[in-house]
Amino acid sequence: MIKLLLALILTLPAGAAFAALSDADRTLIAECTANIDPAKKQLSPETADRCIKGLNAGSPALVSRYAEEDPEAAAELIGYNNALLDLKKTVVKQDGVPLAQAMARLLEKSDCSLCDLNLGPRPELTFDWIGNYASARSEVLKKGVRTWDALGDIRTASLSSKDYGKNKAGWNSQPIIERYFALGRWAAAETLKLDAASKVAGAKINAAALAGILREDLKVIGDEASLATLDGIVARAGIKEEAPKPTAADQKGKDLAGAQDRLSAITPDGQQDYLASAFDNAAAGKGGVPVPKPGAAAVKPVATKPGTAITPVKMTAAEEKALGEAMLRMEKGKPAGYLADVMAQTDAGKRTNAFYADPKYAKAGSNKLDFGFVREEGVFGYWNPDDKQIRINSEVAEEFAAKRGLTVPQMMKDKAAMKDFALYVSPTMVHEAEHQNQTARAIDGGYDFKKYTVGSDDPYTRAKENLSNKWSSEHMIEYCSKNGGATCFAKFHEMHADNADKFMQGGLDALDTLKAPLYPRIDSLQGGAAREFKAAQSSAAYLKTLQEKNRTNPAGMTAQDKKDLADYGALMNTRFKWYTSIYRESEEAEAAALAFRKKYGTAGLGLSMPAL
Amino acid sequence: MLNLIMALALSAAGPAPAQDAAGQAYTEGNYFTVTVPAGWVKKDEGLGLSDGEKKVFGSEFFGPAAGKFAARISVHYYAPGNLLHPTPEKFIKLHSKPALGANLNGKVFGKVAKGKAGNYYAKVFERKTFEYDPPESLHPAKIHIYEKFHVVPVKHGFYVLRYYAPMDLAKTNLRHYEALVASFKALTR
Repeated sequence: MIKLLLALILTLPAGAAFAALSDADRTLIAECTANIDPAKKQLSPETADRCIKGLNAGSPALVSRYAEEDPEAAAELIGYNNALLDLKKTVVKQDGVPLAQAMARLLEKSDCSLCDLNLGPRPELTFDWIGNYASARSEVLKKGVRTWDALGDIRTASLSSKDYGKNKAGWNSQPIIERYFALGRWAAAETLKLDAASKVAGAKINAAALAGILREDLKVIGDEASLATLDGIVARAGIKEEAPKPTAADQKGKDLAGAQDRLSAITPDGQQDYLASAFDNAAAGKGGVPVPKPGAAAVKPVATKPGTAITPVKMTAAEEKALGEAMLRMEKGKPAGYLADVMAQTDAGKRTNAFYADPKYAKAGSNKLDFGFVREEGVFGYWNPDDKQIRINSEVAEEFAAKRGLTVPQMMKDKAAMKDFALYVSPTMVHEAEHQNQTARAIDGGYDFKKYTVGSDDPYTRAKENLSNKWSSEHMIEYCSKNGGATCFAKFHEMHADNADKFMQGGLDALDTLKAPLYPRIDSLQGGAAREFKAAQSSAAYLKTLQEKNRTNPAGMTAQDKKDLADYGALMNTRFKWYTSIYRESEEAEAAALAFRKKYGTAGLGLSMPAL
Repeated sequence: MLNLIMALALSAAGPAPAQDAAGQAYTEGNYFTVTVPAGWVKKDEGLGLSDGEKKVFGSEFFGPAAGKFAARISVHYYAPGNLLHPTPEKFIKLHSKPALGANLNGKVFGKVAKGKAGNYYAKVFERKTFEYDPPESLHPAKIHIYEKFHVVPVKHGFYVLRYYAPMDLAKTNLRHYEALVASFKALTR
């Protein structure tokens, strides 16, 4: 049974608080309701888009007013229409393993909204829908989810043999990611067979196509041992290996080399990202597109302090602690240290400092500063919502110091180096602190409904990531406008500076569009809404029953009924409040970002654009 | 409001649009028409400010993808007073050279040349940029991206046609972009 702690605060306003629904409101609601009725066979993403916009219009938003009248129906309207938008976006934008992961995320979790619309849990149930609304992506999807009919004759003939005993129905009943692993196991077994055959004296092997297919399946699961065996076979038998025969999907677009499609070390839930080192295979000019002649000279990295670069020296735990405290700590209720000083030079950074000093959040215990360094190979930094910590990877400090010919302890004695290092990590601090701030705002605003299950939080969607990127970009741009202009950006990691560059080009929307494909594991706001309102359906239905009883038979309401009416009202209210708040926040953030960009894009020091 | 000329294309509950090799005609309100390559799909969702609030009207179409990255073509009309780019010159300046004023990561920018989009004079340029993957990693891979722009000034505002593709898909799909550019017709001038 869910425990509700803030029932009094969060309870829906009494009946007359919201304006009644107009005829136009009811027409839109009817249209949106029809769109998500599987029996009516619409399920249109275009209609869903119109519904989402319409349901969020007004103040309070139409969905909030409708929720007061019928919370169950309102939850379904928001959840299912968002789910349809999310499905189309997922299918349109991705391919290969990222698409498979995303489809597994949408269809194979317990809170699958699309399943209620007969579009899951097996991806094959979406094929007709894709044919209607994104037909051009049908073959891409079929191949991406490794449906039986898209495996190709070589695979299906072998898998159907008595050695494997597979058939279409059985194959398609498997979870999506398991299909990749099943193909990997099949490929490993076939590689062993091929290896044995290739060692028979005088054997001639005609396995060019098979070898290419085996390699594709082995690469995806990262079976390096079998790949080495396959290399040996190919060399020994002189096989001129063929790439897997193109399917219809391939004809529409060429896959990147296999490294981008690796499932190595990825669980079916997609809990880990790919190794960065596996990706950098799209060499310049590889696609044969004419390479533009340089029109702007590259800027050399900012010269570091004298000192020959050394191999990075690992910090001890004590040194990690000391560096963390030197960079950022609380003194007299305010952030202090090199990082606090850097952040104090920009509005975004001041906002970060002010957050940790805010007594309102301190009272709620939601702004405790826990900053430090820890070895977390490969990452730059992160916010850990479970432990309420912001951490920078120790390697970041070790490599930064080493480029100056220093160890971290030596760097800590060099004030200039420490200032530069604080600047270097400041976009990450501003970015991650915004995540902590988001949770604090959710608690303060009363929409941290995840507190009922996983501790105070609201759902993590890409809308949160956008806000964090906004603040970190603004921090860099303002800092550099005051400290040297364009060349100052070389003091940041080029990945961070590139975010600022994209932000200046097109604002927050453009930055999101460009960065969205990089987060296949994170729900969009649409996906998050679909998931959260699906999870709340039984609560919404129970609330509706209680509301009906309260209206028609108030004398029959027991004490428990009355308590549940308040508690479940609060539970649903937090969800609607979360959804409408985040939706509105995204609009406000974009407007603020455009205003910032206008200020610094036309008049900012070092960033002014001369007229043509 | 968006308006599809081909009634079947993307209509509610409608069957799949009949796509011939030449693509399908697409009209964006009173702003422009283009022929979208067969098999390319329009993006529906959007957060943040509406087109009307930004005074930027247009659409983005997704083509073949390679892993996380899809080839895309977008066409937008920037009305006078829009919140993004006040003039075509400033748009060009911001996109044909490093937006921050310094080329920090080896991007390559082509020269701005004269060209045409449909029957309209355009400023044309291309560039090679990057995406960093995984995000927020210490040593992210740089995914090479090819982009090409056609900027069409009109009396009231300007249009931008943009092609974006990961390098491995860029050459294959460039012809689709060029065909769309050739089909471009401005409805607001």
